[in-house]
Amino acid sequence: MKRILHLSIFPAIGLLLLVASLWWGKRELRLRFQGEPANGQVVGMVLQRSDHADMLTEINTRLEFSLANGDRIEAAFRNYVMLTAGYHFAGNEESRSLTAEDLNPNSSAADAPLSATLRRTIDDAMRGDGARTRWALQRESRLTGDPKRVMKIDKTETVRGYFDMPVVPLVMEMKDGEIHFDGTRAGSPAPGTAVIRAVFDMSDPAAIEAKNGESMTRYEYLINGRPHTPAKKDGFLNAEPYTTEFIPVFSFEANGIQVARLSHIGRHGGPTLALRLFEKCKVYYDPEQPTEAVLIADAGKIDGDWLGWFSRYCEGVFGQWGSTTLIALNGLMFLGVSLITISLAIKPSKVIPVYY
Amino acid sequence: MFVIETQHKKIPWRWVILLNIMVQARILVLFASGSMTFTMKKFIDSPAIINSIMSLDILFNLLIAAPCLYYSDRIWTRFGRRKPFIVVSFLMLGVVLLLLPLAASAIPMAVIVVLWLIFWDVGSTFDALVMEIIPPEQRGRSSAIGAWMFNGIIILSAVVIGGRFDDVFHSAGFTLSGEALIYWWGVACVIFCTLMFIFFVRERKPLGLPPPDHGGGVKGAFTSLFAEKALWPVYLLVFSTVLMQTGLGAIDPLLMTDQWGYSKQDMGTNIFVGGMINMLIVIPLIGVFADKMNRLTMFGIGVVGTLFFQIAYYVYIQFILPDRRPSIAEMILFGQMLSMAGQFSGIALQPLIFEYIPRDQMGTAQAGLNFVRSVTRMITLNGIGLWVTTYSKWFMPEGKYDYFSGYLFMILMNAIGCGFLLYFGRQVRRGIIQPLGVTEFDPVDETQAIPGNPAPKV
Repeated sequence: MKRILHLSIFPAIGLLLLVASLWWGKRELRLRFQGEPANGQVVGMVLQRSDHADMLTEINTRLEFSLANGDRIEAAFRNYVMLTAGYHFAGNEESRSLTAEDLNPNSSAADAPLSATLRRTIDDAMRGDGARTRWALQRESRLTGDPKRVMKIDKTETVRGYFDMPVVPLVMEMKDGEIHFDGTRAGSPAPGTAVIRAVFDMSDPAAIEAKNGESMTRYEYLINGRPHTPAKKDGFLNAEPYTTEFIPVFSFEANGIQVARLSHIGRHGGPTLALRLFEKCKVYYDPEQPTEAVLIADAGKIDGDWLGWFSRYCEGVFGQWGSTTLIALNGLMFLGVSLITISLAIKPSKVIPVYY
Repeated sequence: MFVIETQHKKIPWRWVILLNIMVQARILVLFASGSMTFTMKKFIDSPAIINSIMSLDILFNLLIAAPCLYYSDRIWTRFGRRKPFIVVSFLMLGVVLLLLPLAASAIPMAVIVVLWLIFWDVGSTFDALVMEIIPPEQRGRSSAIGAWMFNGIIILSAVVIGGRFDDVFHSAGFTLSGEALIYWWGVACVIFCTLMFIFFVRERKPLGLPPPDHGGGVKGAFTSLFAEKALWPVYLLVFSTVLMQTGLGAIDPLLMTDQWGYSKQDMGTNIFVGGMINMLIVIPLIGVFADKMNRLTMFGIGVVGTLFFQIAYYVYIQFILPDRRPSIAEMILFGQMLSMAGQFSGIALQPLIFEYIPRDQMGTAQAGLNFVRSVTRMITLNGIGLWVTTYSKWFMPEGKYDYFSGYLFMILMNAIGCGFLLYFGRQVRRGIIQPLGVTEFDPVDETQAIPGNPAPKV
């Protein structure tokens, strides 16, 4: 009896852990394997702090690049999609408008009006944080022989969303493709705007040297017109302290109704690599209760950088299933070992002791 | 018999598999502790302080691990001689890892990290116990099984676990941070090991335990390490090689995440892809060379190669890459070159050291080598932390750190180490330093024996 008890400890723990992993991931597993699939999109990002939250629903970026020869490039984006862009010459030559393809960093067109370096710089400044913009500018400043190198980047982010929300509801209404709160309801959050302007300037090497290489020369952050001091002087998604949690909001259509819902996965330190703002994702929902849904990351196509794609893919899979997998793995470890110990008890192998 | 025991000449292979699972579970705990740099970074900015805390590990190697190992050779309890240390260590490590993600400020977090380092060293009798169970004849295949499993857990750790640190999971009505997930997964592995030891491992009393040591004490033991002048050149050799192996230490992950802006998942990709290339290409390639090349030549190639690739990496990033930020592919490429050079010198180093140790002083030399290695590593780790802090204060905007500047310190240490090695080599050529470990084993050829001199008795 004692022997049986002894041998049953590990299988018991193993089974307990397997049950725990199923219990932990029950909702997500049920939706993933029994839910209805739908195409979705990440439509917002909640920045959850200890006592309040902000929710971004739209991001407008305006960029102005000043080149060494006096030319300027201006570009405006909404949710990372180009709205307008133009190349303005320093002389009397007429300005030229640019298309989205002209700004595409992965474009291989031989007659592209902008160099590949310049397109990469524009993309880095548009999507990246302060550090990425600084690297881009540093890269440009080293092209000393190129008259079209970027000397200054003026970036303005206008973020629309809801600020200072005491609680963010799990499920939100969608109207015309945007998250919508019924303003007539008491306590309903009011839409607001945050404007962040950052200027990075490498045109005066002596000034840069005096500031130990710091190229940011101007920084302003306004929320609903009032100045705000963030934890870090950076863009809206990068100005937060580590403790702020970034939770994606995804939307999808179920039974003809658009639904928006908070993801069950968040991340500290910045948005997750796998669930990128305003990009597509896969959603599985409960057809009987469409607000019950889970989003699955879509790593997208391999766009040249397969190592980056691999990271995104792993982050998508294991960000979703990592915790369940690890609990289950632990259970399997206990079960695997118990199989060996039981086999040893049933059919022991020969042991030759050093002494008897 | 389903309980694993020590003191057997031959054991079932299923015991070997069980032991290797336990060894890997312990390594998984160690990998989980690799996230401590990020936990510390939440509260502590200074790389000097982060590296100083982590370098305490070396101090505890001397102050905790060594005495525990020493006494585990000389005591006997009803639970065995090594097991009590291991079980106490695991229980405390479990508690420490459970509390670590809950620490809300720098001081409790630092205390928990220090306790982790202390109790990890209390459990240093683990390897001795495993080796006591696996008889010498079965150790080769056991190592192969272990190496196979180790590769598996590297993949698991790099791809699945490492990148979870920043995640937050909202499931089953609870919220679990990725940091807690990693450390608590470590706790689960610790519990697994503890239960394995309690229920399935038994120590048999050895027939003769060594007598307790009565003389000299710590001071006596310490002075005896350096009293033997014949060992000084060996200490110099090891001092030089440790200088040359200076790394960024605990701030290494911060270079990739904080300075170069990669995610922890990217870091996992780097380790995973680099590890695969290492395993499938670099190690077999080194194996081919290892059999055909003279050890000293290999060591030379390794030493010069490491210095060369470190300088090349620094120059490439600092002066050639326009944004001073390598891609993951570039990191893997240089990482493999450095790894290849490191393996050349690593393979040759151990036999080379023992060529200069007289056989009757192996024990003292081993203790002395551990001491020199530990002290040198502690100096270099703290040195690199201070270097990065000071360099950043001078050359970086306020509040920013240039972790990559640590490469300058590494290159400097490598160059100093090379200088000492050149001096060592010259002394060997002049006959001032002699390979006593080799000469005293040279059999005397009868034809070369000097008439009148009796042949030595074996």
